[in-house]
Amino acid sequence: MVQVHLTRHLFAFFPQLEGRALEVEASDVAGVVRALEALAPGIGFYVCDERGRLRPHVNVFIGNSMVRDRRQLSDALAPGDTVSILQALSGG
Amino acid sequence: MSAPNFDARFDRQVRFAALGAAGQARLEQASVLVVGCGALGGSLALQLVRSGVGHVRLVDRDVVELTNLPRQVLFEERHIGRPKALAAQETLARIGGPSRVEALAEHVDADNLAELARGAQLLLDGTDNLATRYLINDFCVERGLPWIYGGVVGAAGLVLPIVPQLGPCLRCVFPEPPPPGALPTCDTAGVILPAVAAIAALQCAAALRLVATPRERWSEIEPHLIELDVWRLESRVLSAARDPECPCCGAREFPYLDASGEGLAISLCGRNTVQVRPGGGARAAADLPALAARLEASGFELVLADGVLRFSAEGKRFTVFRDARALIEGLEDPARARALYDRFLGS
Repeated sequence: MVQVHLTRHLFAFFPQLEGRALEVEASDVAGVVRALEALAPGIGFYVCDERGRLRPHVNVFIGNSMVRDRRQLSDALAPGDTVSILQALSGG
Repeated sequence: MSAPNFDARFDRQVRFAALGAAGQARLEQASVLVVGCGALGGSLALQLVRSGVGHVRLVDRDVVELTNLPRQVLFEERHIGRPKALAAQETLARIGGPSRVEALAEHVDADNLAELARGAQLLLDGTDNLATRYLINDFCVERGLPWIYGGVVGAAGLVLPIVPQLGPCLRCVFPEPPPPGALPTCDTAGVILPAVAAIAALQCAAALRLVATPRERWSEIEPHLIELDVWRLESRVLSAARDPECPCCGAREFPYLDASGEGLAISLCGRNTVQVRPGGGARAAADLPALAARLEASGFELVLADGVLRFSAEGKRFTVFRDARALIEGLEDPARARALYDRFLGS
């Protein structure tokens, strides 16, 4: 299982994920996005565009390292990995 | 009255070994531009001045409003309606110390950023919109200047110190800003002072470290992207990396520097306010007394003070600056704001 941390601000758009321990079966980042989409329909299209690429204001980290492949989301995951999904913030 | 004793003033700070007397001396010789002087920017300016940074230049396009007071630490009720940069300068002057604070009530865009940043060795992000941040990123990467991104909404925020060529730039991490409506704003999600203060503190700590560290040792400063939620006590310290295909720090393309600020109408984050700038050529300058006279003759009630003209029309509140820029409160639609601007101010 892979543990997923979503940036707090995503819960405003997907409140059904709030307060849940997000653990999914996935062998790569694309698998994480598919698993999240099953839990919260629409989040996949929020994180990725119609071609499956990470949207340009979003980033994903495995552990504390940035993913390398923003196009195919092919970065591999191992059981126990932690995936963090963040987006740019405009307020200040 | 004896001369102020700055050695005594900064004694505790100098005792912090990582800074020391040499670091303090570097702070006192430093020049920093703070872009935006609201929640983050005000807190940043306060910390820079308290820390003894030698020259702090503040630039902000906005005026103080009642709703600013819970989180914008440099303003009091008596400042409402005044340009934020000038009100901030007044508050900071009361602190004393060696800092020279310069205040400019201006909009920052591709046309004037180079002039605003003249002499600065570091830029700090206190803005409330991503367009300005991508402009700052282009500018700083192009010039090799460090800057520190900070953003906050609700109880959480992000910080990323950017040292061009040594670490990632903003576009390595977030390649493009999102389309309108894609992100939560202070209007939809709110914002609280502890979150602002924490994010500004992280930005300022990074700033002091950069300024106090000789340039040849900047490579020792790791490029961390920090996410912090002060309400739920969650934090993440992530290693941001350069993108070898980054169009900005990789290919050295700077499209945001090429975008002229003329004729822009932009909705301000969480403010129900649109800023409109005049178009049509060189930087404009409004004849505010003449405009005031014209509006008064048409029956409008107005106030002309501190270099700004304020009046209401069509249920909207207008604040007009000397550079012919206007803030129109009470709407979100830039096109509608542009139309109102044209109707009441002409362009």
